Amino acid sequence: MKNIPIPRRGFRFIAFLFVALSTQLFLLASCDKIESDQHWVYSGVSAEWHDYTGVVPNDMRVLMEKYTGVRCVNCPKADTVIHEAADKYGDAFIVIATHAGTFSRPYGEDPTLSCSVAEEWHDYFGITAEPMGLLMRGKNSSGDWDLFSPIANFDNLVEDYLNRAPEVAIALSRMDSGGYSYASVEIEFLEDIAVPLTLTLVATEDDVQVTQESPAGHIEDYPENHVLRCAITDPWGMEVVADGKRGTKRQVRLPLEISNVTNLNNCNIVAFISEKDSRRILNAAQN
Amino acid sequence: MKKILFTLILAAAATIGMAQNATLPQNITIKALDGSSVQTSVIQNDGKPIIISFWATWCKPCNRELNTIKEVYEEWQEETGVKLVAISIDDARSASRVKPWVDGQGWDYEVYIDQNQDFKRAMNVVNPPHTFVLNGKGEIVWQHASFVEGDEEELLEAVRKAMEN
Amino acid sequence: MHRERINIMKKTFLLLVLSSYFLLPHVQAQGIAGGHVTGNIQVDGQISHKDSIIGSSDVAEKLLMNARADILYTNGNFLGGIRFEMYQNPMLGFDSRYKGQGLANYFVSYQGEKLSVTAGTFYEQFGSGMILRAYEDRYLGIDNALLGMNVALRPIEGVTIKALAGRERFFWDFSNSLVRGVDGEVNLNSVIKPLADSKLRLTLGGGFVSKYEEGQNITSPDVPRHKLNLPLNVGAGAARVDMSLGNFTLQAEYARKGQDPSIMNGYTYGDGEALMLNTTYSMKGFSVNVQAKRVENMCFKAERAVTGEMLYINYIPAITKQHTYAFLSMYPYATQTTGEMGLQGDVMYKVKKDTWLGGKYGMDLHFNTAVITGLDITGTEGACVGGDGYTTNYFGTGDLYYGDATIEVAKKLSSALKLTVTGGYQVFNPLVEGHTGALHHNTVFVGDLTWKVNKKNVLRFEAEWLGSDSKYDPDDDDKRCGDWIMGLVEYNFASAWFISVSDQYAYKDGIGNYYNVSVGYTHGATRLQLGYGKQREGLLCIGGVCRMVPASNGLTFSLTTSF
Repeated sequence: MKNIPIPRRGFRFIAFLFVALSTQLFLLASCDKIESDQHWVYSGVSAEWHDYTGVVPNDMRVLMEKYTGVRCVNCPKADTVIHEAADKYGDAFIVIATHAGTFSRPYGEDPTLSCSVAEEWHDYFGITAEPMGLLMRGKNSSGDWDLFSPIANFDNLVEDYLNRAPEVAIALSRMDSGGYSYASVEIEFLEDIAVPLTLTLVATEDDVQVTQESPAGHIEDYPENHVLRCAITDPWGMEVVADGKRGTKRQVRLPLEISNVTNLNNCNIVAFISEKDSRRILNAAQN
Repeated sequence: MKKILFTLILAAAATIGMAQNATLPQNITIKALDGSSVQTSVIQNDGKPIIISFWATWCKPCNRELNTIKEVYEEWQEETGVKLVAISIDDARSASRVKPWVDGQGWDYEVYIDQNQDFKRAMNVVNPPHTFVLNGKGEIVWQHASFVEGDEEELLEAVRKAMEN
Repeated sequence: MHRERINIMKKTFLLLVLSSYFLLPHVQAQGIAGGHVTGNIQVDGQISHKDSIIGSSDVAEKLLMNARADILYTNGNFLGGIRFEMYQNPMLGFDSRYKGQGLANYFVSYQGEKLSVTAGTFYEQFGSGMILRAYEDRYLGIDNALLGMNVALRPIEGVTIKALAGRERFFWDFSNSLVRGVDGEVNLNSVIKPLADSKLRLTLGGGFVSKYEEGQNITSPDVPRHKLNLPLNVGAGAARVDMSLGNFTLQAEYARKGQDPSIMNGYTYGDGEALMLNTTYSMKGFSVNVQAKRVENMCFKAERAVTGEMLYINYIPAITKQHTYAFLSMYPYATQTTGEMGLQGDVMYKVKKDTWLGGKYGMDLHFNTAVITGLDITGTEGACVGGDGYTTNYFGTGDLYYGDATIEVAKKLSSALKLTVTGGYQVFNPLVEGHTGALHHNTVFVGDLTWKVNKKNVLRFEAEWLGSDSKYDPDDDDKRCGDWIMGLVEYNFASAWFISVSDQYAYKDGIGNYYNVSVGYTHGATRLQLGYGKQREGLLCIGGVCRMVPASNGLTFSLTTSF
């Protein structure tokens, strides 16, 4: 073996390095391996869209995602601020509390409040600290997600969105038929929209009592509200099949396949329309 | 637009004819029968003419050609010093049978394997057998597609002519 | 999924290049600016009529034509080439998506002693192609050239390193997925000085190829409201050894492919693997060759949802001998890339002249046999969308797919007469072509006599017989069933003209009468051939050349020229 001339300099050395480096890079980067139990991912329910002739109320609503966790010290304070905003704005202000990340690890025997869609959203938006708020999945001037801390009053941010004219109107109703639960979503294009849109439906639960961290220490049986429990459609939404012209009205009926909810009486359905590529939310509804 | 391009290409082709002497491409990789990769620059004959014949184990006329030349190869070599280099275009399906085939047929030629047909493309071979004659300077002076018994006479004439260059 | 199209810029560039050829001083004897232009042109056409018996359908446009022109410009170590292809409309046997015309191939290349770089569309093969083979076979309508860049380094003698990246050709577009690969080969005799003159010749090689494709929604009714978690990067690696020692040679190659759920393997997540072993003993006048192959789940495609022959990244060849006589190749074997294992043995012996058996001129004996079976499947629980695939017993065998044994005896009877007699036995499983049914057992005899009348006139006679246990059944509609007989006469004049007349007739339990008349003219590297009659698809060797032909009924013509 000692007779193999390992090149020391010049062209040959560069060539030798080239081989070593490229093979390393290849072995590391060029293969995806998916574990046996992860071959399938939840892609949610989907159904056919059809034309709708009724009236769609054109209220503008603001959807806030609160990234939180039971181990997050300032989260109860954020809850207070959010509660005030909810009182002030009523139905126009919808909240989803997404428990995910290291701060959401439960205490003692408590069940976890995290779920796969929560983790997926948490990772996608790059949440590193909690509590963190995100309104309408908007972006700031630098093109990053417009995250803010909801510990202080953020009414100005909410009103900023509420004062805009909605681009899409959305209405959500729930019904039972033949022993099954359905959600009916109607949308109306209030402007011409050329980009593809998606409709996302999730289920949240109120009054889930677990141990929560706070500046004063552990709080037993703290009521967590708007806890994100599961995605009914694909976590990133199902395609909105419409021609995008102003005045078009469309409707879809989706079976309510709700999982992970402990008390169905405390369960809310949240529906929102977003742009497929930028994720920006145009309008939302809750029922 | 495409029709104009096609016409231009055909016109360009038509004006060239056989007056031009292309040379053998030097740096195309082919495989020797011992498994090593070499460049086409190894095809040399000390300034004497070379015959390059593209063949395949599944091509009957190719085998007829190489067997017919085998019977007169020694005479040809004495007279002209010519060397015949047989390039097999067998792909992975039959490339491993090239060496036993050459030995089984008892050929004395220099044989290389052009497994991905890079050499075949560079020499514009369409159907095997396709035979080229190179003069002492490595220029392609004659080429012929197909083989029928009797064609070897024409080949010898071309080699003799190549010697004069 | 959006694909790229050849844009106006490329067309204009090309027009400029071509115009400059005409504008530059025309130095025909030396070429252009020191370089040379070479190329080849081929035009094939057919006027085909409907014939339910051979299965050729009616052709509304009457004339089908494929044409191509390859132009190569060489100047020292620089090469540039383009290929123009036209399918108006594609001939029978060619995919209808080829319809149209345009630049199919364009590249610029520097080929030096130590470094070769190609930019544009290129062809390349790693080892025997088990993980990467970008190639073209014009008669089969296969062209999976890569558009990108290909670099080869030869830093010291005996070492070759290749690196490439590109997108694969798909008819008149290029696939959106990326293919990248690295390959290294070392000839130990050149690199290790003490081995330079050794009787043992040893070459080692290894390569790795990876493909990146965007995700997509693959669902299954068995798992509602879920979609497959698809690996976006699929990798495959191979290692090979090529050894020769005296009269023995040994080649071995092992390839392994990572998780690659695709439509070809039912969207399962198991690894694919292939092993090829080949060993030869040969000396002048005698050779023995044994080849063994096992392939499992090795369809490596550039796009996971594409069926058929298109967009293959790799190439797994059939383990059988490519037969040239019509009746021996009537039931050809095609590789089952999902899984197969096979063995082939080949013996060639040259009986010497002036012996009892050899006679005045000697005699050639050639024996070949091949057996291919499916894999031994031990478990099918994973054989569902999203599962891990079949489990198999590595050394077991499954159904018989194909088997054949042929013996060929060639003897020169006199200075003007050469006779070749072939006998063969074949077992064919219709599963190979995707049909169910009983195995076909065929016996074939072929007699091939060449008579060199004088210096200018050569006659060739061919007679073939096929006896089969299959009978033609209108339900299956397999037109090859039954017993057949064939006769062919070919007359060659002055090494330029030829005329051939042949007929294949199903005389028992079958239907079909394939008669054909062909005439042709060859001058230098130009060849023109005209034929009339019914032609089965397959390898046709007449008029001094061999080429694959599609099925046709009517007039066919072919013009090829190289310059």
